[in-house]
Amino acid sequence: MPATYEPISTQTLTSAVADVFFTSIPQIYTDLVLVMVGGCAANSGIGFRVNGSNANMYSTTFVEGITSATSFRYSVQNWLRIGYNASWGAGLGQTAFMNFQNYSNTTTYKSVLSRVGTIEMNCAGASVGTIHTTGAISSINIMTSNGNSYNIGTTFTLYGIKAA
Amino acid sequence: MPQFPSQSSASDIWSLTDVSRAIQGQNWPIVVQTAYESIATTVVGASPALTVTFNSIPSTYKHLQIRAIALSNSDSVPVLLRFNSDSGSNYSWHTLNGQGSVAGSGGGTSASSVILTLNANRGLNASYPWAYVVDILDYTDTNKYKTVRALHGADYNGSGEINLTSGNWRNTAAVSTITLSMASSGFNQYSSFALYGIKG
Repeated sequence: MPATYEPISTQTLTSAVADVFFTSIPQIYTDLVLVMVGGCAANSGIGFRVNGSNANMYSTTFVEGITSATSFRYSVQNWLRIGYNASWGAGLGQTAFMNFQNYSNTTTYKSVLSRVGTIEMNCAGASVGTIHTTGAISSINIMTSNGNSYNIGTTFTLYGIKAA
Repeated sequence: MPQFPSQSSASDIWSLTDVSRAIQGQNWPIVVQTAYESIATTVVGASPALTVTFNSIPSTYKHLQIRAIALSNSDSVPVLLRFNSDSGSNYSWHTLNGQGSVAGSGGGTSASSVILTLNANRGLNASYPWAYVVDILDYTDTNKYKTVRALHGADYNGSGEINLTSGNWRNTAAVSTITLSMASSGFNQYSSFALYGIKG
């Protein structure tokens, strides 16, 4: 059986920045997995845009647990936020895990399944987002809701998974 | 020059001299060594499929993972997950979901399948893919019932649902067949289901 789940690129911040980019993503995989571990300068929603587009083509549904379970939705957004209350704060102990399903196909909208854990907000969450484009994803711009920077030491690792 | 392996192979042992020559010659092959392997993939064609089946699953892995997107003309027909063609009342499942404005939960015991994508009018859609990442743990262990965890859902830009689901098949047999099915309507064209094995 062909081995897969290959690391494409890893970035570890040596200076605080508000935007992190993965560009020229190879189109040879079926799914992408993006793993983020770290924190932000101050409490910030985290998420991304694809292919450099800030069009209103992103939407997300969340379920989160703080002391009870709650759900929220963002529709018609110009970026895809993966946590509602599950934002990132100071430190480096927060995680985010995103699955970009069938990112390279050109026939369907793109779905993103995410998990976020944030000790700063005492919150765990999961979300599903839709990118309303049939275009293949060739770049990802990771960003924050308020322009706050990701902390030094925050890591971003992109993997590719190829179906046989 | 040494004969460089064209693909990953644990039996290929390179000397330091070989490595040095490869670097100097800019002739460095792609060597993939992961514990995650693609087993099989089904992409639905022009005719909708009521059932997607993975047969003869190798028993050489520790865990299995299904990664999928699904489209359907019906938003009210559940997606059922079964093992080894067992449709007896041998399953249980529970889910935590977010519907946008409220969080909900559901489940079933002595069920005839693990149910994924349950809720009427919040199920699959013809335009927006429902995404799945489903883990089947210790699927060859004949001392345990089999457990499933799944993260799945779809956002329809104003409706939709995210789910965290757990499931159980009360059988100690190794899983050799997995079936995903809809009782009617079926999975539309471009629905894609990929099965992977994870080594222990």
